[in-house]
Amino acid sequence: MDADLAAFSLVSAFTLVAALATVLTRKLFSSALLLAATLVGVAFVFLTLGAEFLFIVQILVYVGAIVTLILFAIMFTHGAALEEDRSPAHDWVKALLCVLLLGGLVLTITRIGPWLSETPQQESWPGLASGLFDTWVFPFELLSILLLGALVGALYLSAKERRTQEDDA
Amino acid sequence: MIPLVAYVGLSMALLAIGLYGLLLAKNAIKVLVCVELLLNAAHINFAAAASYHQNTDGLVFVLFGIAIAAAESAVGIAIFLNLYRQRGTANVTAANALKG
Repeated sequence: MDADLAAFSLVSAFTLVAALATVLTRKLFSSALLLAATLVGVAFVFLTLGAEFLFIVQILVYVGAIVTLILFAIMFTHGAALEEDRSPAHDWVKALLCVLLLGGLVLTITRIGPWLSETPQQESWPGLASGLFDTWVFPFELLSILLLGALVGALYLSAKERRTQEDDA
Repeated sequence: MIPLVAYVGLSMALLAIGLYGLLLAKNAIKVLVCVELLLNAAHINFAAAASYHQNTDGLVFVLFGIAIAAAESAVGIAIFLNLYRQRGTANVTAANALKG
């Protein structure tokens, strides 16, 4: 077992354990923090593929922004955090369903994939910027409009209710 | 070197875990957390396939996916905050106003 494979095994084991803990923990707050750990694990998976830029974006946007947003949402609905304790921590029927889906996926993919045993290239990516700003520049600009629209919409949704509450009071 | 099957396997396992959480979750924020797990499973697949083909399009798609996930969670959390204000709970089963 060479060093690359050892590092990948470590990172993927960490990611899977953190993901399982995210799903199975009963406390909402620990669930969000464990999600951050899972996302850091996925970022290191990107690093093993040589995609350093994705590593940085994953840390900045996912761990930095989305997890913070989720933590704020938990704090704003902190009474709801207590409710999670009453929901079941484990359900064998649903677990069986997911294991069956996983088995089906494994069967299907191993049947169609002679390419599976080959190794991806683990080099840096000089063409990423030209791909992003040349081939995909129009979707990229559309995405900025989508982000702006979504954020203004989110602001409107959460501010409107507060205004009516002030009117009621 | 790491075979491609390792990345696909990791992605499938993450997908199954996220789906299990999605089926289990009652709290709306927990649902959002599990959706993020599912998205990350897809992102690993994209990045591994891009790496295998030495084609940057897969990586660009992951970047787009991350940006869309950010937009999705912002709007989702705004909706959940409204649900919490109107129903006093973030339980997804409380959103039953359109139930026949």
